[in-house]
Amino acid sequence: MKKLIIIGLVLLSTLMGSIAQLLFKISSENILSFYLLLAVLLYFFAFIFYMFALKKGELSFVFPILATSYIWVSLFSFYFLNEGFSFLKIFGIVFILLGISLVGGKSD
Amino acid sequence: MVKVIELWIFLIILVVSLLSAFGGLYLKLSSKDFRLSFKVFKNKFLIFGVLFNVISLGLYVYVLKFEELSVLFPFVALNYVWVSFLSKCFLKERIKLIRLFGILFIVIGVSLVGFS
Repeated sequence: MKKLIIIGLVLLSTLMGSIAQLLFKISSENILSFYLLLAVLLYFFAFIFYMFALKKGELSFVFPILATSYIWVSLFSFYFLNEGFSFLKIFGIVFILLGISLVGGKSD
Repeated sequence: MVKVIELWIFLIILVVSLLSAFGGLYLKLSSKDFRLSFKVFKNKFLIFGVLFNVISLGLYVYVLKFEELSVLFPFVALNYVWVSFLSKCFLKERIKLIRLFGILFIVIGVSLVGFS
């Protein structure tokens, strides 16, 4: 159960961080500083969630879950930025997910 | 078929990796005393952890101007290996073999995502 909470915290953290990265990219095209401010705020909260996850779990367990940010970013770039989704990328995402479930051990 | 990477770029990316890994370690060390208050800014591990990660990111963004992402990404993927070593050495975490396999998969996965 504790592992699930940690995974959830890090997933939230990487999700917010990835949205922030997306907003950074969007804001550079529109020079809308609102997006930039939101991005900074998101990064801040992402950091807080990550720190609470670190409080609860071992570094060698928590840190690898950060790799999910690559999954989020790939999904967001596909949906919002119309970037391609190659077979290699899907393979990579599957490997990341497999890897994280192995790192997690018993509970996933 | 093997791409040769310039030495200075390789050295910088090595520094990026090390800084990122130690930054992660310091953040873990600071997490014990982490709480939602302004006193948290006095924590040296937190300050250096954030600083190392910020410098690492800055160097990475810089070196990306000179080399392709698909070449640099595998080095970034190695971060997960360094952090495991550091956790074992400094935090005395016992790492089961299955976790190492998981990290290997993640390294491969991250490299593949960056390669495409």
